[in-house]
Amino acid sequence: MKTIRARLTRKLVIGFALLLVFGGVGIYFWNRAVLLKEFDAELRAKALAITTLTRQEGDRVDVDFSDRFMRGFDEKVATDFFQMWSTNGTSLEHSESLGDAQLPCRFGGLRQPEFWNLRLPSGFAGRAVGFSFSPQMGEGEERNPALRARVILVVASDRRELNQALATFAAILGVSGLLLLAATVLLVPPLLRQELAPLDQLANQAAQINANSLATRFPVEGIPSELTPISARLNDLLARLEQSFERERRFSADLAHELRTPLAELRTMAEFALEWPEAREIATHQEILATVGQMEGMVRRLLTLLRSENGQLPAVRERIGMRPLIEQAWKPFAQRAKLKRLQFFHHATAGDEVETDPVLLRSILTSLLDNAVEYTPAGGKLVIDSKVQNGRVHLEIANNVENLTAEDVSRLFDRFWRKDPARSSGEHSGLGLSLARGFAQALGYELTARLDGTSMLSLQLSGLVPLQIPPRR
Amino acid sequence: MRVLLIEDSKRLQATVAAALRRSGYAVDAAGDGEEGLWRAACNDYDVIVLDIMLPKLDGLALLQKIRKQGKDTHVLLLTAKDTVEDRVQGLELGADDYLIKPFALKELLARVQALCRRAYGKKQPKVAIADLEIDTVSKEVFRAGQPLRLKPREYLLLEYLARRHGQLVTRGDIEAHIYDGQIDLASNTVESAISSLRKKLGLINPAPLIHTRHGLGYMLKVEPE
Repeated sequence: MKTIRARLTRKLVIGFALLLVFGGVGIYFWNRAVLLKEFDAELRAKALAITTLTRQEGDRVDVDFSDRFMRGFDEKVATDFFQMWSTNGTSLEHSESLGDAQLPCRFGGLRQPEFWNLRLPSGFAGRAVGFSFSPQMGEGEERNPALRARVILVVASDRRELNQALATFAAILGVSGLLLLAATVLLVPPLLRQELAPLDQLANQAAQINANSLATRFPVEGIPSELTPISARLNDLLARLEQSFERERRFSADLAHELRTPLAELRTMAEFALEWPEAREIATHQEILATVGQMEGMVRRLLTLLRSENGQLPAVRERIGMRPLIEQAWKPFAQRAKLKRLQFFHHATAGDEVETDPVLLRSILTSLLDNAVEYTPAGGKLVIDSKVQNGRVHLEIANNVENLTAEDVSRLFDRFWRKDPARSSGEHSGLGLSLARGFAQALGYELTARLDGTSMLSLQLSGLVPLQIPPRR
Repeated sequence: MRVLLIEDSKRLQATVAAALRRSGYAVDAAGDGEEGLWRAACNDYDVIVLDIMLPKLDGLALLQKIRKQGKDTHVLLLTAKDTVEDRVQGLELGADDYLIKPFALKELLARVQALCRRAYGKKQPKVAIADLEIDTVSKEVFRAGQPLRLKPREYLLLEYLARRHGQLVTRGDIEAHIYDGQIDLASNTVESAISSLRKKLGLINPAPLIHTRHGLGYMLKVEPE
């Protein structure tokens, strides 16, 4: 299973096992070296003791050796052995423990003797030291260096005790290592489980979240600091999802609502005609047609909106002048504005030409102007301003509004949103501004809304690229 | 029975009002919340059919206001909102029934009728007083087992008197519950309607059912012999 816990457990156990093996081997060899050094020192001490008992008397070399004090050299104990040779290879002396056997004749200097392992005449493993030296001169002997003899001494000792100690130590190390490894295998998983519990909790909490519980938030305090950014990012994601779901839920509810009233109209008109056929009038059919037309328009606008949101709205680029386009778009609303006694101002930089889709841009302008004329109170102000800012044409339509809040402005481009919740007239579907924004996005422009103070709503279309920037005045 | 219909969709308002009138109700219609509130405050309706999403004053706020005014008129909410929360909110604010758009016209008429019955404390669709029997569903009237042919307005008057039988019903009550804003009331409209109804009832059984209390009003009851 590819869980973090399983992977961590596996890696920790393997890592710890390797550490134990290498550590154990290291400790063993270090300890072996120490014991061997001690053994060699003892061996050398035995050899040096023999050298102090060796004297040269004329041409003869005597070893005043007694195994009474060094029991190991006794033939019964036979744990230590020595043999002495003259430099021409003649065996001068050997311990009783050696019997008829010979020790290998290998040697170094007194200061740097040679040590080696060997099989003892007794058949056991042993270790030997060999060096050459000049024996002390007997009393009254002439101390002429040229007359001094050189002899070779090899001392060997049984190293079974050392080997036994090393084997015991290796066994202790091995068993301890295995026990530690077993303890690791047993302890690591529950420890990891305990330490990774916050991650499990996070996962469980995440698993319980569905479309109906998007208001849930993960804790960001009281958890390990490594999880804090994960919780925070998940919370951000949930907030965005919640907002998006809420928008879609509202859209579905609004769509259902928008369709329910015309459906109710159609159904009641049809049922009325069936129940009281004598009361049927031509006007009823016209009303049915009008309702169907209203529903058809809504479906058409919705499909266009969906296409624009999915980027499936083809835009045909043409070179057009902003001022004539605004004037053309305004024409159908001029009479309504006059009837409402609106104060209309148009501040446009003459001659700004842009390359755009004239049909889509005009649709955007129509939606914005329709919205402005409809919702500006009688006698209110409506201003169209187009100018070049930072190399881009910036169009602004501002108008007086009543009872509009900042929250309303944030929902202005939502599908089906209307300040007046009663969808009485059927003339305004609440899709106009959504469509305008969809068209703006299709053209690569940005359409935003701002509330200046409490009575002036400003809708801004930006991002249009002018073909020629007029010279600064 | 007089019904106030408050609905902002003109087409729906016209059709439902026509259907209610055809079913024998006196109907007043309002297209927005403010007009609806004004009508509800000025008249004594048996049932108010109220759309929730209304311009100027929404249906739930209107409902709250008329309940605050002490009016206990039965209210049938009409709405395109269908969530449980919406329904619960409407009922908690004092609505008596709830109908979701699109609805069957017959269902609306049946619910309005049920609310009218509740308005007079009756659960049975049939009203029987002595040998008079009124079927409020089929709108048929029988006296001594024989059917009586009544005009819609006469039927409404008889049903209203029957629902309040044994009680004194003033001329004002009758005007308020039987005639809607479309009728231009003359000073003797009620008297002539009562007279016409008495004649038709007397054709089968001369025993009087509708009695005049001079200067006070009328009462439908069986006088002990």
